[in-house]
Amino acid sequence: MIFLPEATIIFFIITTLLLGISLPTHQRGTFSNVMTLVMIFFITCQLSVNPVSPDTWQGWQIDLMSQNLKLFISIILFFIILINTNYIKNAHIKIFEYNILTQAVLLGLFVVCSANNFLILFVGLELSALPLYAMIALYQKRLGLEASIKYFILGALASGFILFGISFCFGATGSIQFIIDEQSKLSVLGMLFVTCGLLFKVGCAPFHNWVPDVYEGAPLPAVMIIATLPKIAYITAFIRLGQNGAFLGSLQPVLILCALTSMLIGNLSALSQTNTKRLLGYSSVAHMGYLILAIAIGVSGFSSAIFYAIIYTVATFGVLGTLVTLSKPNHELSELSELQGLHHRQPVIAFFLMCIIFSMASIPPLAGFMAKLNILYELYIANFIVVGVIAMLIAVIGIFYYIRVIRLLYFDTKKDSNFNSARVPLITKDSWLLALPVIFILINGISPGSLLSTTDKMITRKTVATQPSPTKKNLVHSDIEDIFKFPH
Amino acid sequence: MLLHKLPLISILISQSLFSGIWILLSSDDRAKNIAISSSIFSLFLGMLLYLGFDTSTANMQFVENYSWIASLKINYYVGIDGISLPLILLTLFINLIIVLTANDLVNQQISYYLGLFFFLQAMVVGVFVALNTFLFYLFWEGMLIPMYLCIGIWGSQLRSYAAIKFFIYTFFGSVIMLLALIYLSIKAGSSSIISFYNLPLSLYEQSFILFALILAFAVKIPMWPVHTWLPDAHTEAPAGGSVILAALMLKVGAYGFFRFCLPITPDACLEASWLMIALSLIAIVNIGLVALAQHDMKRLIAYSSVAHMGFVSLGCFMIYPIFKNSGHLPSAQLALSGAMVQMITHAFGSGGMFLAFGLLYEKIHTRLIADMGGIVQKMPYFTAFFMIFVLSNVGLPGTAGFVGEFMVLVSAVQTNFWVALLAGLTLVLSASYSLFMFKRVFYGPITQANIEKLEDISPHQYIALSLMVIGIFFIGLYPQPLIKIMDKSIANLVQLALQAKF
Amino acid sequence: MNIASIITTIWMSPLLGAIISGVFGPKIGHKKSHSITIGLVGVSMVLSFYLGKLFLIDQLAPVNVVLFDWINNNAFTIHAGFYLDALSVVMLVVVSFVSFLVHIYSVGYMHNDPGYSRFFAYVSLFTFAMFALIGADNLAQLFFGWEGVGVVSYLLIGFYFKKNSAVNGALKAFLVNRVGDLGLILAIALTYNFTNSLEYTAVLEKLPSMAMESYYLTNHWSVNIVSLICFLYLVAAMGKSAQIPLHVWLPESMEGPTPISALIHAATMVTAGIYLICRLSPIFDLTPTILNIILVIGSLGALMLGLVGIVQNDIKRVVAYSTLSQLGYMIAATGASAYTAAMFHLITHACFKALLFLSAGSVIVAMHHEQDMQKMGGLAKDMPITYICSLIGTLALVAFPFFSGFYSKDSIIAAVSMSNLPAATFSYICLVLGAMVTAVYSFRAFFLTFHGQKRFKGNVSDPGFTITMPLIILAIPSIFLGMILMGPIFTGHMLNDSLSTFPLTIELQHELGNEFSSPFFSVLHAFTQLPLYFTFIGFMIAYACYIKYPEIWQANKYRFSTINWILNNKWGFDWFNDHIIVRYTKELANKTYQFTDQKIIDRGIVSGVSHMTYETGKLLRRIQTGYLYHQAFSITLGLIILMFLISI
Repeated sequence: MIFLPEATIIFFIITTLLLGISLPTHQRGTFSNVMTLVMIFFITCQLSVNPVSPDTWQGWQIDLMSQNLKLFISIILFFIILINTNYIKNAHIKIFEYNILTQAVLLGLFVVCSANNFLILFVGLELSALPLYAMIALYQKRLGLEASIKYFILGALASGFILFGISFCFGATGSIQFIIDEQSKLSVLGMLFVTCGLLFKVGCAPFHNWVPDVYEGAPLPAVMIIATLPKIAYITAFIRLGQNGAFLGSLQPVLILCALTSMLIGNLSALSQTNTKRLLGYSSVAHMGYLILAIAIGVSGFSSAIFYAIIYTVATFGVLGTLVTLSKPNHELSELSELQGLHHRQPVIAFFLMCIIFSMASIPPLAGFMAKLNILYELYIANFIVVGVIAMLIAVIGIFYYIRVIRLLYFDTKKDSNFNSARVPLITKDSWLLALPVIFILINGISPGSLLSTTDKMITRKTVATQPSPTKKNLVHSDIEDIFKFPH
Repeated sequence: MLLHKLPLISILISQSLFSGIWILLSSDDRAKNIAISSSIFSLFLGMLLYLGFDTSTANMQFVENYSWIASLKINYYVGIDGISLPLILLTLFINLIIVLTANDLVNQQISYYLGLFFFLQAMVVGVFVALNTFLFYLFWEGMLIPMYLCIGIWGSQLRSYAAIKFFIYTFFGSVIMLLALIYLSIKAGSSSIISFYNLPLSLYEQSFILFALILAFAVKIPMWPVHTWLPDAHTEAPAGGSVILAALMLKVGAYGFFRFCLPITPDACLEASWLMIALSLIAIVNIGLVALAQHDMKRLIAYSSVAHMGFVSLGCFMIYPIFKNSGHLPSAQLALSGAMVQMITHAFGSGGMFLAFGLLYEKIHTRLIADMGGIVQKMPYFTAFFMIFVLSNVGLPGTAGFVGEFMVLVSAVQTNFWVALLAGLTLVLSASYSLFMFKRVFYGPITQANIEKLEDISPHQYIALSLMVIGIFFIGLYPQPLIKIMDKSIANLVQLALQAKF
Repeated sequence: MNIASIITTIWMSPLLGAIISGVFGPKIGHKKSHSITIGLVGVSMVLSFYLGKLFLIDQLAPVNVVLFDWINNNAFTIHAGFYLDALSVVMLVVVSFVSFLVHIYSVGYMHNDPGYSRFFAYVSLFTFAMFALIGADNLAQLFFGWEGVGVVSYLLIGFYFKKNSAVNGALKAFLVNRVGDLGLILAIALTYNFTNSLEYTAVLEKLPSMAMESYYLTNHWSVNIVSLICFLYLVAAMGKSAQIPLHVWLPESMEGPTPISALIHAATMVTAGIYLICRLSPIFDLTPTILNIILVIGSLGALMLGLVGIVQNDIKRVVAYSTLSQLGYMIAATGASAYTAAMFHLITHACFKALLFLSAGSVIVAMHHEQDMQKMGGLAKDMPITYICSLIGTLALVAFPFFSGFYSKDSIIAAVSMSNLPAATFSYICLVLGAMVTAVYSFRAFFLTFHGQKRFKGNVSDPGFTITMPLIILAIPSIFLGMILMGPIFTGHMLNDSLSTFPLTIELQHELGNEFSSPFFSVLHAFTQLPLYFTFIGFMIAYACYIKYPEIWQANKYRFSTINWILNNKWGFDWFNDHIIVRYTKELANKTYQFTDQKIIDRGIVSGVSHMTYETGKLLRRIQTGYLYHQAFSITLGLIILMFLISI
């Protein structure tokens, strides 16, 4: 039953669609909501109750990594839906469509998680991307439509890259398996195209420029999905490619370069942003830099990459969840200045937001620090000390805008009338939901041991078999290596 | 002994943390009582540490070592020696003072304010007890958040600028330090600080590591030229924050020299000692002059803080030329002990001044020296306290401020006569800026109408200030207990710091 | 009672008094404050006299009392303790005696002052610190006392804190003293460096063996160790004992209450420098260079500052400049290795200068705090006790035969004349001229105050018993102390054991012993020497100008206007300090702050970097146009660049 979760999703999509059409319009929303939640519940049960033994079928891979990450994606989605329910209802977003699209995205992401050859990977990518394009336009406002079109066209470009790359690889190796032949220029080139396409999908520089526009244009519930789930799933694609040695040869410097550029551009651009969502977009570009850096290290970095992705996802969920909670029905909270003095209005939420932002800024004892520390540690062990140094120096730039947000939350004593009247009860349903990411971040900041060992287990399965022999290093690689390595 | 079986250090840290949470969640009225009792309890725990401390050994005591994050080889490894114990006691003491005066220094969100200081206490104590690099780093960075909030929320007009400057400056330094720490722990195969002491490192490696470490510590101390965050942070921070900054946060940097730089990279320290001595002297002389030019009272105290911390770094790095010139360890030990004592004593002088100024600021709401004058006529007791703090800052024998400076100066001539002369200029400079300020603020005719309305300090402020004064005189007149605690550890450190590593 | 507990009691009782009066003063009231402090200082005095009997008369061997360890580890040991020998005990006696009298005097002088108990606390605290200074058995404790008296002096000069001149004077005093302290601490550091100890006994034992060794200040510049150390001790002494050019604080210190001027700025604290040099005389004797410097500085001070005293109109300032001049004599004596003579003059000077100050204070009280002598005159009839006491003080000061100052001062001049150091001749000339100057300003002040016509309105009378009683008590030693002490000091070697035993010094001591063998004989001998005649000339000048022919003097005053201008500007030291040192230091401070700190580091580097980062961010933001074709282009460009990268 290696397709069980996916089959469940398909079943639910169809059921929801069919039954939903038959229902009166005003009931469709709630119905689809319930259906999605139930679906997630089922999937979660399937994924967690039965520990599935690793199994492969053609290009379909079931292992701890795919199962655990699917589980994680489902759980996050569950909370996303929960936290958005109220907002969507009041914000005149078509909730039925939203839920259907969400289910479809989930299906696509699951496929990506399990994809073990180029074709299935491509199918998964497209399956997840298409509903996302539609989801951005849900708001039916000009910005959203524009962003949707942009994302669609650029996404198509990226898909073209991937497909093009796949054909190169196929041409070089005669297989659609994730195999790279370092000797063959064609294979390397093909892999480069695939990698670039994937980098586009996760929003890593220099293929990042859709990110801020989409974040800004899309409605918050859609941003919540775009910013969190796909990153996790797409990382598995990177890891599977990496486990087959794709990034150890001449692509390693490419990845490192992209990663560093991404951090730099993301952090620098975020500095002058005034829109919360755009800021978050650039911040995600920077974070993707660290993630890709972890991938670039090779097998030893994968577990830290997953760890980083998980922490990043939870933190992003937390921030966006806060924004959703704070938004009024007819007005989406998007300008940074609207967060001003939040501490006086809603101290609990402000505190949560602060914890999450400090975590993103990688200040101990929060999980964001542990995530970076992990990557840094692996970088050092892999002897990329100078890269580590540069990465951390760029991280200092990032601090600027994170603590600027904290400043807005806490340092402002502006107490005009509407600030005071907006005071709400300290603890609401939403703030309980928001407490979850904070607790997660705190626990994993102080004692990341269990999560680390889980991510470690996800990786170790296949590493031994596919570890590339050191003799395979080509000239370019060692040249670049000399530049980046710490001299003895 | 029973005391050694108790995990006293962990109890202390967790007690601070839980008190912090408890205080955060309680109402403003109750917060104060909880805070005072928790603080006294912390001090009691500190006294237990002191009582159980064995001064006849340089080994770590009250050690607790548990595996924590296995994959990164991070252990929860804590313990104290003669270098950390005085600093821990100082931390608890200063926190008590801040808690006592909290009501007078801030008038909004007192429970948050008090809570933050307990978090800060946990973090600072943590830094002093951590024997694992990453644990150390965790506490080190953990201090940033409460301090940042403290400056930002309760500070004065330019608080966000100061808070951000403080944050970026220190974060920048500590990130660089982290890079070095990771390198060390990978190289040593363990992240215990103690294991680094015997780690053979080439001079090349040591230089990089030392550079990274010094950057972090120098920012915290702060040494010239990375000191400019301090005047802003001090000036804008609420009084409690300034006290903590001056009394504890700066010490954390200097503690880094003791715990990391000297024993881990001795050869690089030897190479860099001339530079560090030069920077320390610049701090002492140049910053002393800069302090003279200040119009803002708090800024002046802040600059004087920088100048005094110059003695700590001077004492640390002087041991190399001293050993080269004299060839015997006790002379170097004197310098290092001086630096250590200066760390403690500086907390009383500068901390006291910041505290007292905070009390004054709440009454007159100005920091400009020109706006004050003749305060002694309205607040004689307060002035007496302030005078004692000033005198300790000036380094008057019999007050705490003298002991460290004296020890450092006495050993400075073994380096070079001119080093001693320049360092000795502080005698004149510190007296100039401190007393010039004192004269303008407290003496002379009353210049302003709102000074006419001042009233002298209240009884509990009297108690808080008296505690500081008792500390000043106790250390000044009888520093022997302090010296005794750290004696063996310093001797051991000198040995580590003076032996070549490769 | 053993000696340890005696000295502890002596030391601690003023501190106790200070604490009680200082902390609880406002609660217990004026009367209790002064009774307690006076009582406790009285205890100190009585016990000091007892010690005086033991060490000065019974000639007990030196005793070292260790109280507690201040710092003790294997690197460094300093303890608090007392070294009791003739030298320190004689100082103890003097200090406790004068202090006790000043305490009593203050009851009357400070009557109804709002800072009454604070004043008594300070004076007792001063006594405590002074005891720590003179009794110390090591240099660190000496430094403790040294700075302690300095800070109390600071507090007392600024006692009238509403007056700007008082607080400025206090600040000046402290800062100038700190320059001296810098010398002292460096000297102590060097001493420790070469002897590994700070105790007198050890230091004085080890340092002489280094007399020939050199210390490299730089690679190519070496100096003699002992000379360097002595020079730094001299700087310290110059600060505390107000020698040129560090004397500028002493006249300003007259802003403090008069009893303080008597106690601190005449009798005790300012003599600490002389005491220090005497205490370390064995090493000073090793360095003729430094001795020459001392001679020159001392005698210049004796003459130049005495001259300034002539043009002062404030009664206290005259006495202050007289103190400066007399301190010059004492320093000069140490320069000539006549340590006994220096100590002798120190003791007698303490009595008669305290007497003069207290008399001045008495006049000031009577005149309702008028200090300008030009507004006095003819007080003799109305204030007989003060008049007589002043006369005795003045006679002692100008070294009138048989008065105590005569013996001590004459012995100094004699010692200088016997010295064979190169600077001795110059010094001798200065000191002899100084004797004349002393007579001029002393009698000028005396005549202006007590003789001539009344230049004020209203009636005056001798103040109360608490003020006059100390005057009378002090008048007695001012007359007789010289005669009494002369024998033991010069022929009985009362202080010799504590001082240098350098051969030349011993020889000089012998010669002095011959010359000052008996009170009467030395007066006869003085008639064969210059000083007495010069003193007489001085007296005649003062008499002529202020009593006999004041009109002529007034008429011809303009002829001396240049000299007058120089003297009124006090040789330009103040001008130099204010306009060169203070001004340029302030300017330098401002420049360093504004330029280095603010402009380069803060605005230049720190803000510069963050600004640059921010600007780069803004630039990047501009590149992000949002046009679809730009985005598509940049993505493709990125791909091409990466392709290019892997193909190289």
